[in-house]
Amino acid sequence: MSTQFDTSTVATASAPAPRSRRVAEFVITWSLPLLLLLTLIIATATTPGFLAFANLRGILINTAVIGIAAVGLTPVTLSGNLVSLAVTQQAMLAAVVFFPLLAVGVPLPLAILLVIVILAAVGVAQGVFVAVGLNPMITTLAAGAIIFGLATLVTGGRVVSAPAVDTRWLALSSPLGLPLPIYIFIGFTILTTLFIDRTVTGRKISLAGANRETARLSGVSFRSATIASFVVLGIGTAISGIVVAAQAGQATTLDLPTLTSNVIAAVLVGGTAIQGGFGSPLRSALGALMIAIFSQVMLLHDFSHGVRLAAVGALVVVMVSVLHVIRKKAV
Amino acid sequence: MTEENGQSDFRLRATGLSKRYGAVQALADVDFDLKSGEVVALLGENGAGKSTLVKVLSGLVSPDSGTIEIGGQPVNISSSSRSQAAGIAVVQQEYSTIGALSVAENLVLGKANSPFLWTRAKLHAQARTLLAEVGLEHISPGTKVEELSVAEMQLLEVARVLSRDAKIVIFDEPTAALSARETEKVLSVVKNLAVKGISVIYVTHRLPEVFAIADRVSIFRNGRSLPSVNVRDVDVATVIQMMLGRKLESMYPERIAVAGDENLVLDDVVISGLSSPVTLRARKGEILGLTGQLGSGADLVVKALASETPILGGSVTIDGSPMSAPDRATGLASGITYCSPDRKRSGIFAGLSIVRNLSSSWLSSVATAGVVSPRRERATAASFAASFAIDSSRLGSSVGKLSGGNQQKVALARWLGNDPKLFLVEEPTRGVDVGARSDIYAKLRGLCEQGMTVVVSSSDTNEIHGLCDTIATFYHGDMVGVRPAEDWTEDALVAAVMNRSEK
Repeated sequence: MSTQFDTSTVATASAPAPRSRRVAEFVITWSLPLLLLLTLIIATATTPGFLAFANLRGILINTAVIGIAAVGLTPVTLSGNLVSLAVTQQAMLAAVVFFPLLAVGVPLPLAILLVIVILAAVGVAQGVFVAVGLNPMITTLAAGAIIFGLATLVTGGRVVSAPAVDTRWLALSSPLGLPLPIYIFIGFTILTTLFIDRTVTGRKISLAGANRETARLSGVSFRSATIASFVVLGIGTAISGIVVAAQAGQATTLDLPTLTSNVIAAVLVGGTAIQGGFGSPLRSALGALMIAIFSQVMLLHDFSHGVRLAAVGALVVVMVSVLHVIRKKAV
Repeated sequence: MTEENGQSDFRLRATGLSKRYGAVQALADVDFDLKSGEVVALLGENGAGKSTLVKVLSGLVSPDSGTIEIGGQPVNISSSSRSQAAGIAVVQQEYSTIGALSVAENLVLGKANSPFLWTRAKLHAQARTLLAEVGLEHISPGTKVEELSVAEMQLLEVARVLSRDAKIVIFDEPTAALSARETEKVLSVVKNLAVKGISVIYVTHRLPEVFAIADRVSIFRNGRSLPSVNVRDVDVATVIQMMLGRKLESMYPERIAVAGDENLVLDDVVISGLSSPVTLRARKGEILGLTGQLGSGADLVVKALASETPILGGSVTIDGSPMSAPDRATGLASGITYCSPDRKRSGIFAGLSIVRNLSSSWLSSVATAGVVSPRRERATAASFAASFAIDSSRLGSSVGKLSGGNQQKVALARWLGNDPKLFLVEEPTRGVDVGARSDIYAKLRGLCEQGMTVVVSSSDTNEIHGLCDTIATFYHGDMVGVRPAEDWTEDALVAAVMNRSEK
């Protein structure tokens, strides 16, 4: 037990991580892209017409709607506020507000901007409640119910549209052969990922989620981080809702019934930790893509609706459990 | 006591216990014994091995080697239920009672051989007997536990242990959070237990309690136990001498006379949790050390300066202007940094990389218009890592994987980018290996040379004695003495934190 002995053990302790840890790290980083690649290979090999352009196009537009909202939800999860249960209602609100604005003559770019601002404000309102200590799940559940109730009250449950304005090109035009929503999806993913990785506010969101107490002692305000994250979710659901509305040319309060669960599934399959701190919007985007391809393959193989839903559920459980167990090993 | 046979007059005998955690030998070939009706006190500094022995006896930790006999028979107590079945019970520091349930209900929680149905009358009758045994006869069995005082909860904890018919009761610093009067009460309950033939292991940091109740004292040092001695045969000074043994003085950096102006001045500062106002001075470029046992309040002064505990009165001035920091973020902005004592819970981001940990509190300073420059962030973090002797080749790996010593270096280096004037640290080397300790001490001294004022609170008197320029001691919520380090011998310092009368 001499001093010499102690120094030597310290040196071993700081030597390169043991094999199991490196394997764990590798799995955390690469499991999703590899799984995605594997699914693609299997899909192409076993599914005639999988790579056909019309098929891919369908997958991509569908992915864009879920993916944009999932990318927007990621900061909320990163900040340690679990998930929002009002994703469906927020996107629906965006769609339902979008058409009346156009109908009264607001120019399209301004209408899009206004919808984004309104949904950002809805985010601030929820963020404030969560920041003062309300449970995020309960707050967003309540917010969803309120949004749905008010929207139904105002529209009277009728279909809203703006027949005089053509919006379908927003969803259907295909510069360089890819549908416009894909470009929007990619752009929003890049911007949000940069926001989280490169801006002071974005970093604080991750810090608050990684360890709220350490973050507080480091001068990071959990309240501001929470509000900022809900604003990003507001913007994401606004864009997602507009894409859906534009594609359909109309909207009702009953649109997008499964969006919330799909979006949460995309975030979790992407590997963002539900307790916060670790993950990225890019991962959620890949998660959305993964789920979309998986569902599409099953659709092309004529699996029934029930089987497809159950399989996606199983995929979420497997990814979350595997990543959870491995992350415990790695840290 | 019935199964006590003639082969052994020891109720409990442990021989050759060893336990190793990674590089740390927590217990090394420890022998320990306990007769019936005897109170044996365990003494030793933090990390000396007392709590590991308690964990082994209570079945929470399995020793690497060694045997344990109860009543002369070797026993297997490798789980807490086995340990309970063998008649061993632990009165925890942290209360394991459930606040929303009544006193009587708590007393039967986790109790073996309960009747099929508890009637209210049966429950309360049993509770009254137990409460009377621990001097809580004034409490109605129907009272909710959350309405009790800390001392009453501690005594209730004892009553719970009694309800399990334990033959060996371990007390783990039962009085750390209690006032002098409440302490009396707990001590008299312990004495009563011994009179009834129950054997008691009493872990404490307070010497007067040892002399008040113990028959023998077992002293731990670096995982080894010295042969136990009868309390009648020793005095306070001998016990302290035995605890300290020989020390490596070279671990600490040389003190350098950098007596600058007084830049931290506390005048009659009333701090929530301390029973008397505090007056203290620290000069620019010195290390002010605050020491005392757990619950003595030494940490509260640091917490108050860090805006983590309220200041109720008096004045604190820093560089001549009154400190005004309603919360941690404002304090940080004005150059007061604070390193918390609980590394895992509030000192580091275990899952994030070293760079992200280091930069967490000064991101804005490497950002332009809110956008962080990864190049500047990494370069700044690398320079702080290098200055704290953190391996710079691993800046990208997560802090949770580092050794305790390296984690602590990260926890300390995190604050360097905030241009600190006042560097507050609690327990700077808790759970840190020897090599990293001397790095940390050298760096804290280095900060002083850069003109910072460092305030350290620690329950490790050796560390405070070796490191600090001015030392204040705390006992039971009072600051009892402030002197320059050269006026303290280590023995006097230990005596001051363990014993109010010998200041």
